[in-house]
Amino acid sequence: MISSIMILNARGEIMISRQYRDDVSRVAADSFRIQVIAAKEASSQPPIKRIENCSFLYTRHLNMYFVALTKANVNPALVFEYLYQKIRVLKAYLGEDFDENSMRNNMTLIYELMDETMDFGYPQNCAVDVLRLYINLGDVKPQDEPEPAQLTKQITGAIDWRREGIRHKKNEVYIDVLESVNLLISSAGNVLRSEVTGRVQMNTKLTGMPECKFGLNDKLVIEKSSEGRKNSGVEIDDCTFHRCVRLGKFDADRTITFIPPDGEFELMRYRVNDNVNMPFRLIPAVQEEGQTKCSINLKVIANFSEKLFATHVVIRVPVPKNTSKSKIKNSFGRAKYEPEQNAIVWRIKKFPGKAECMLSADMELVRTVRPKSWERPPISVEFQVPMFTASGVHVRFLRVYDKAGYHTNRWVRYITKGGGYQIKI
Amino acid sequence: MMDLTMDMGHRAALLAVQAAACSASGPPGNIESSRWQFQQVHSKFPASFFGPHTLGSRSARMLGSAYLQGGPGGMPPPGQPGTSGQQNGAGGKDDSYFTESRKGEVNELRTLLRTFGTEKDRQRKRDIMKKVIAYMTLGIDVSRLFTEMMLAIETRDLVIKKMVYLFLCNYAETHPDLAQMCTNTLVKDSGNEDPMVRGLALRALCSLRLPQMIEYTSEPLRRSLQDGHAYVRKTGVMGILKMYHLNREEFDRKAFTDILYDMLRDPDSSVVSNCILVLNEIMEEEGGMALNRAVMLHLLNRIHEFSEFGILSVLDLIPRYIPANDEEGFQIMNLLDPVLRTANSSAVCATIRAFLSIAESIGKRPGDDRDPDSPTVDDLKKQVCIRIRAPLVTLMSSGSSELTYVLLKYVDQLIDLCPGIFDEEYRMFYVRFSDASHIKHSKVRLLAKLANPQTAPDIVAEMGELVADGDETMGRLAVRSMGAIALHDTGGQGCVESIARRLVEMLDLQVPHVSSEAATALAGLARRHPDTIAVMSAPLPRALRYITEPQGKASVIFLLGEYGESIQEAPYSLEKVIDNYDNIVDDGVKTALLAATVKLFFHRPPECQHMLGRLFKKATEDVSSQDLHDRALFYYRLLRSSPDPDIVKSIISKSMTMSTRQFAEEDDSELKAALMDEFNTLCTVYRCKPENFIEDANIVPFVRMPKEHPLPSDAPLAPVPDPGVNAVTDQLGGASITEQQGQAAPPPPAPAVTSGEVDLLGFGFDEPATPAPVSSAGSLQSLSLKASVTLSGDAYQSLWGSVPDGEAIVTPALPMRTAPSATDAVEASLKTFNVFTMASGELPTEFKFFLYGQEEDAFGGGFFLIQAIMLKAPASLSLTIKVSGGDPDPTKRKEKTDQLIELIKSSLGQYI
Repeated sequence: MISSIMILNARGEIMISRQYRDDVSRVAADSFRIQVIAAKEASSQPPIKRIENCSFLYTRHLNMYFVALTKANVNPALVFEYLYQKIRVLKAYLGEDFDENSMRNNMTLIYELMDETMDFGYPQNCAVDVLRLYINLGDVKPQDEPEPAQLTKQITGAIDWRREGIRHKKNEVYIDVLESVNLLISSAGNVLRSEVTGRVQMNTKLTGMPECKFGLNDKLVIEKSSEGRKNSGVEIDDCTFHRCVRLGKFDADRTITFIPPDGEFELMRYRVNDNVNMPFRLIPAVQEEGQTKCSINLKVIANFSEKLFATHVVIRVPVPKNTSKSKIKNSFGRAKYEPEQNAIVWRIKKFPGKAECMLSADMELVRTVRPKSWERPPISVEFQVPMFTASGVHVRFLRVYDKAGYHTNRWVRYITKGGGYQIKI
Repeated sequence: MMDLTMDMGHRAALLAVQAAACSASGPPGNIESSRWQFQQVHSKFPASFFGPHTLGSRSARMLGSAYLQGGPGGMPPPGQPGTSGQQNGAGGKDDSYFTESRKGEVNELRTLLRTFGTEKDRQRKRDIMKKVIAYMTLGIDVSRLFTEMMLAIETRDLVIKKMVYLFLCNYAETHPDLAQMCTNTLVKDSGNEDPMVRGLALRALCSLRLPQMIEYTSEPLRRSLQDGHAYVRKTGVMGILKMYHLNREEFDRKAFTDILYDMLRDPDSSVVSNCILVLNEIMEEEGGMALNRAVMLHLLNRIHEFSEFGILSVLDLIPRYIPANDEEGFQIMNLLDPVLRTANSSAVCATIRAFLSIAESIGKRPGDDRDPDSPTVDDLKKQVCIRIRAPLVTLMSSGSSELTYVLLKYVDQLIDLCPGIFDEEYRMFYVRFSDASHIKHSKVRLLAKLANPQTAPDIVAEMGELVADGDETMGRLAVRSMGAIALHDTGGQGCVESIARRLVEMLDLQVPHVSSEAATALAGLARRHPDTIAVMSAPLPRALRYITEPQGKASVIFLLGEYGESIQEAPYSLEKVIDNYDNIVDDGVKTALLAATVKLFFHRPPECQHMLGRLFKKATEDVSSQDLHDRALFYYRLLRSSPDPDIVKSIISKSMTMSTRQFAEEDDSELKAALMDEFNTLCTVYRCKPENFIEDANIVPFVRMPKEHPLPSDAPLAPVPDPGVNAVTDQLGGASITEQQGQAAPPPPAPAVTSGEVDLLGFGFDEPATPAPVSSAGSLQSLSLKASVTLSGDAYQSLWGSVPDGEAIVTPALPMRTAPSATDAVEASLKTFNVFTMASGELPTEFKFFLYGQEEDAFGGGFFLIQAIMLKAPASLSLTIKVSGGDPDPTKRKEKTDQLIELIKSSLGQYI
C-alpha cells in the first residue's frame, strides 16, 4: 500500500500532500528534494528512489513531481498506473496541461479526488466519468444530477466507465488512428529496427448504452472471411485494449466489441513489426576532411502517394561540436545551423508525396587542443503525414447497435508521426 | 484577548453539553488513519501560529494566498501575502502585528460563518466553506471555528458536508475534546437516507483516529456492512482496517474478521476487493488472508466483474494458491489469459506472476511418479514466458519511461528464469537516442543476455557503436556487456575471437575509460578462452603506456605477467612501471605488478631478476598497504628459503585459466530463486530481498496456502453467478472453473468448525445477509455424491421397481416461496450438487422431476432415486426417495437420506 502521495513543484515545495498512513512524515519530502530534484542529473535518475527505508516512486507532469511514498514492498507497476490515472483524472478536471496555478486554485477539489481514488493507501475507483458524477467542484460543470441510488451503483457497478441515460442530439463517433513510426537505420543503410506503434483514439457521442463493433483490416480476420485475397490485411503483432472491450470475444473470434465510455478515450494500442511503409527515405553522405572541414550531403525522398503531403517535417542533421561556420544549400524548406543543438535543423512545412529534396552543407571546424573524435549521433526526423498509416492499418467498419436504432455519423482520421525515426551516419 | 475568552466560553459550554451525552474519554494515543496535510501545527494559543518558525514553509502560506486570490468570493486576500517574506525576517514587533492581523481574519471568517445559517445562496455558502478550508491548508489554526463549523454540518449540500468532514478529520487528533462533540452528528449522518452521505460520514468517523471513540464507531461500522448500497459497504470495509490499526482488542472482540470472510461473496466486486485487501493486511503475519479452494474458485469465477485496480487484489492471491490438480491449474490460466490484453500494465504483471506460480505448483518435478508426458516445471515456465513475451514488449514500447524502466527489470528477471526467451525480440532493446539514460543503461545490460549465435553479430555491432557514446557510463557498460557475451561464449562460433579483436581495437582508442574497460574485459576473456591471447598480445605493451585508469592498468599488468612468455617486450614494459613505482598511487596496480613480476621471473629469469629485486625492495618498504607489504615479504621469503626452485615454480606458476563456466561471484542463483518469489514487487527493481530494505514490521512473508484442501470434494461450489451482478459476463470471456471431483484426491475429513474460527466452508449463494442455513460442511460428512454418474433410462426404471414402494421415504409437502419458471434452472442448480436429472416435465399445475445420484464408492456406492413434485400454486415441494444398494445399516440410510433432502433443499435455496 501507499503511505502518502505528494505533489511537488520544480523547487521541491509541497503543493499537495495527502497522507494515507502515519508511517511516512512530511519531512520525507525534504530528502526527496535534496536527493532527486536538486540532484545534478535529475532527468537521468531512475524513477524509483530508495532513501533509507522509504521508497519514492515518481513521475512528472510539466514541472511537477507526483510522488508516491511507501515503506512496504509494493507492486511498482501498480503505483505507476495509479499515478498516471491520477494525472489523467486531473487533466479531465483541470484541462490537458494544468499547471501549478490551476492546482492551487482547485486545492479542495484535488483533495476530494485524492480521497475518492484512494482509501487508506489502496486505489479505489479511478474512472473519470464516474468521478465526475459526484465530484463536481472546480471547472467541471455539474451534469444533471442523478438519483443517489443510481449514483452509488455507478460508483461501484461493473460498467464503471459509462452511466446510463446519456442523451445526445446528434449521434457521432470520431475515430483517430494515430501511428508513430520507430525506425533505426545503420550507417550502412540496413534497417536495424522498424516498428509501428499505433493507437486508436475515439470520441463517442452516443445515446443510451450502445453496443459497438469495430473492425480493422487485421490479417487474421480478413484471411478467415475471404480466402483467396492474399496480401490484404496487416499482421498485428500484439494489441491491448481499453477495459470496455470484451476480451473473451476478441480471443474467440477477434471481433472488437464494446460499450464505449462517453467522450474521448483510447480504444486500443497495437504494434506492427513487419512490412512497415517507411514514409521517408534518407540517404546521407558525411565526409570529414582532416580536423578542420566536414561536409554533409543528404537526400530525402518521400515514399508516400503524391496525393498526400507531410507536414511539420523537421530534420536534425548533427554536426561536430566545434563547428564554427557552415554553408548550407537546400532545395526547399528552411535550414539553419543551430549551435545550441549542435545540428543543422531543416524545417519543411509541407512536403509533397514522391518528392525528393537535397541538402548539402560544408562546415568549418575549430581546431581543438585535444582532438576528440566526433561521436556522430544519428540524423533524426520528425514529421506528420495525415491520412497515411505506416503499418497499412485502416478501419474497415464501426457498427453501433442500440435499442433506439438511431443513425450514427462516423468520421475516421489517420495520422502517422515520426517517433524515433533515426538514421545513423 | 477579548476574542479568545469568548472562544473559551463557547468551548466550555459545548463541552458541558457533550459531557452529558458521552461520558467516556481517554487519552489520545496510538493513531493511525488517513490525514490531511498542512495541519501539523497546533497550539492552545492561536497567536503562536503565525510566527515564522511554526508555520514552517513560507511556500505553504503563499500557496494558500494564491488559492484565496484565485477563489471566488468577495473577501480581500488575507494580510499582505506579498510582504510575508519581509515579515518573516523581521523581529518580534512586526511579528506580533502580523499575528494580530491574522487573528483578525479568523474572526472575520467567524462573522461570515455566523451569517451562514441565514445565507440562502448555495454558492455563497460554499465560498465561505472554501475559505475556511483554504486557511486550514495554509497551516493556520482555524480550530477556533469548530463550533460554527459544526452548525454547518446540517446541510443537504454534499460539497459543504465534505468540506466540514475534512475540517473535522483535520482537527480531531489535536482537539479530541472538540471532536467528540460532533460524534453524534456523524453517527446520525451515517444513518442518513442518502448513501453518499452515509459513506462520507462513515469515512470521516473512521478517520478521526481517536481511540476513545471506538465504541461510537463500531456500531455504525457494523451497520454499514449490511447497508443496501455498495458504496457504504465498501467504505465500511476500509473503516474496519482503520479500526484494526487503532484498537486491536476492540477489533477482535467484535469478530470483524468473520464478517469480512462472509462478505467475500458480496454481490458488488469493489466491496469484495476491499475485503481481500483488508483481510490480507490484518493477517499479514500469516502471509495474507486464509485461502482455500472454495474461496479462490469463487473469486476467480467472478474475476471479470472487478474494476481496473480491484482485479489486482484477486490476481495477487493466486500465487499463494495451490491448484487441486493440473486440470484446474490450466483452467485458471485460461481464465486469466484475456487479462494479458488489458492496457493496465500492473494487471498484466500480476497475471505473469500468477501464471509462473501455477506452473510451479502443477508442473512435474524430477522424481515425481506422474504421467511421463505431463510437462515439467521448467517446460511450463518456459511456455508461460513465451505466452507473455508479446504483451510485455508491447507495454514496454508504448508505455511511459517510468513503466519501461520497471518492465525492463522484470524482463531481466524473466530472462534469468528462462534464458533465451527474449532473444528474438532483441531489436526492441536497442537503445534509442531519446531514451532516458537509466533506460539506456538497463537496455545495454539486457542486450548482453540476449546474445545467441544468430543475434550476437547484430548485438555486438550495436554495442560497438555505443562505445563511443558521449555518456561515460554508457560506454563502460557497452564494453562490459560485450565482454560478458564473449566470456559466457553465447555468441556462437567465431564470436569470441571477433569480440576480442574489437576489444583490442578499443585499447588503442585513446579514450581513457573505454581502453581501461576493454583491458579489464580482455583479462577476463584470456582466463576463460586462453587461445585469444594470440590476438591481444601485440598491443599490450603499448597499452600499458597510455592506459591511465588503475583497474585497466592492473588488468594489462596481469596479462603481461600471465602470458609474458609469448610477449617479447613483456619484461621491459613491466620494468618501466617498476622504475616509476613511486608515482603509482593505486594499491591494486602495485599488487598486480608484484604478482606479475614474480610470475614472469619463472618464465624469463635472466631478464627479470634485477627488476624483481628492485621491486621487492620498494614493496617491502612501502607502508601504504599492509596487504602489499605482506605479499612482497611472502614472495621474497619463499624465493630465498626454498631449497628447490621447482617447488616454488609450481606454487607460483599456477595457471589462472578458468575451469568452470563462470566466476564464483557471478553465481547468484540463490538470490534469483528468492527474487522469483517476490516477482512484481520492489524487490525486482532493487534486485535484493525484502529484508534488505523493508522494516521487519512491514515484511509480508510469502506463504502458500496449506497443501491439502480443507474442503470435501462435494462441497457446494459452482459457477452460479451471484444474483444482482451486472450481466457483462463475457468481459473476460465466459469461461469459468468448476470442480473436477473425478480427479480430486479422496477428501480429507472436514475439520470441525470451532467457534471463532472462520467459516470458510459454508459458502452459500444467498445474499450475504442470510447465510446458507443448512449446508454446513459438518453435516455432510457421511454423504458424498459422485460427480459423474451414468444411468440409462431402463436401468433407472428397473432400480426404481426393485425397491418396494413401502421402503420409499416420502417427505411431507414443503412450502416454497415461489415456483420455478422452468425446469432447466432447477436441474442446473441440482447438478452442481451432483444430483442429476433423468427426466423432467411441466404439467399445468406442477413440475415433475426424476432425479438420481450415486454415492462415492468409498461411502458405499448406493444409488439414490428421487421423484420430486413441485406444485405451482400454492408452491410446494414433495420428494419420494428410494435407496438402492449402498450401506445396509438402516440408521445410516436414514441419516443419508435426511442429508440428501437437506442438500436438495439448500440447492433450491432460491425458491424455498
